[in-house]
Amino acid sequence: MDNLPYFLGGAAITVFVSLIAWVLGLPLSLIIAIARIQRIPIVDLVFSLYVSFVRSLPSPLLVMLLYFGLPVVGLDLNPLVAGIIAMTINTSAFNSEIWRSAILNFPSDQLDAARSVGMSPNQSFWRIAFPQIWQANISNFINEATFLVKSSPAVGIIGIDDLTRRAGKIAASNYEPLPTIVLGMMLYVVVLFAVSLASRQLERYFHDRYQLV
Amino acid sequence: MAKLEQPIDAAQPLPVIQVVGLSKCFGSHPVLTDINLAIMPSETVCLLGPSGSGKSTLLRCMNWLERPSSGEVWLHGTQMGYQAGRKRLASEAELAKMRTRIGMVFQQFNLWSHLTVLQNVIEAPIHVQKRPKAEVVAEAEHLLAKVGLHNKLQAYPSQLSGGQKQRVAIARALAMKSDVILLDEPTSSLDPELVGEVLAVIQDLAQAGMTLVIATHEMKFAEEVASRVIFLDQGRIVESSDPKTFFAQPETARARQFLERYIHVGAI
Repeated sequence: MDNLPYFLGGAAITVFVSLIAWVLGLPLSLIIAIARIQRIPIVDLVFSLYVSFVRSLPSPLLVMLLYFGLPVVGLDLNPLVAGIIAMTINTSAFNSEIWRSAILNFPSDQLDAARSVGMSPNQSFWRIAFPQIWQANISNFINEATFLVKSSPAVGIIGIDDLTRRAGKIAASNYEPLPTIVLGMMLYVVVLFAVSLASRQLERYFHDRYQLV
Repeated sequence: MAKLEQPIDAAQPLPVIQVVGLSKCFGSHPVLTDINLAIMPSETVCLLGPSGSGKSTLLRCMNWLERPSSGEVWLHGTQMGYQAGRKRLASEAELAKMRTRIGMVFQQFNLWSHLTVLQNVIEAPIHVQKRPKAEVVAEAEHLLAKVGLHNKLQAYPSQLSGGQKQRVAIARALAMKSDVILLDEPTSSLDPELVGEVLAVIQDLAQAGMTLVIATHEMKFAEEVASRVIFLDQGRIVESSDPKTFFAQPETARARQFLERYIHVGAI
């Protein structure tokens, strides 16, 4: 198993790309959701098209679109940046739908109480609704993160040496595809298992604390 | 629509809340029609009437949680929902500021689930009224002790009974030091054995001279605590009198019919 460090390096790149995209995608998706709920003219239309478009596009194509397409309009991106942006866009579209339904379903009676004590719409969102919404939906967001990890091999297309790409390279050079692929698979399983374990713990913590909606 | 001056009766002190010609429609359905009333300082006014008679909507129009379709609401000489001395609608921020002067207690308690009992009470005084934290916390602890919850400061709403939740909600409204508290059927979603503890707290407030407007179905409570009873039916004020008169000799057939049903139910 001389290749293990090489494999682990690939896993680290996979985790890195996914994590950054997830962290950037969460606030971006919240902005999209809020803009759509507020029905800001034009912005709402643009974001609604954005969400439909991104959700129907396979991730590898989105990656290629950014990497090969943006130089046409004068934006040269290095592969890692292009890959992370593509994955961020990808996850933001899905997460925005989670935010949107959570915000729309937030109990209006708690917001009535917030208005009745003189909170502005901004205050009642950020101080009352938002803390409950993200905590109640943490498992949905983490679930979306697992999809993100699984679609991250798309960045291999533009040469980012993630776990899948490295597994493919090794399998092609040592003529032992099966053990190589199994090892690669197991690394994904370990990563995703850790993610879902974290999700369950967080969910339980928030639930026990104050049984959110 | 908006007048610039409150119609004041010079012989009377200034009402805490004065409602003038207020109507509210949801779509084409009229819920309140031409409501006129004045709530005087330290009064305890009970709004009675069958379900759907507009009691809750009237309370929600008083603090503009529902915007009246027409008519005016005056709060100590300033008109709710309008910029001071002008006919222009107030912004959300200005409206929010006006609402701090009117406390509200809801049928479903409406506590904030992610905050502890203490946090629920101190949230608005600190973050809306920007009062110093130490002072607000001390007051909140005092208020929560007064409603019998000094040992629940760190509990979350999900860990409380309905009666406890409602007492927290009352403490939350009191912490705002508002001029008046509106209570929207404060005991209607409580188990019967928990009603008493909440009514006792409200009764204490009334005796302490707090101005209260209470929509309620608790006839006995209204009879004992109210300084005035307003009977609503189909969105109109049908009777407004002192509780003794109202319960002993209601003027209208509609009120008699309403009371008979309650007495009948109560007798079972």
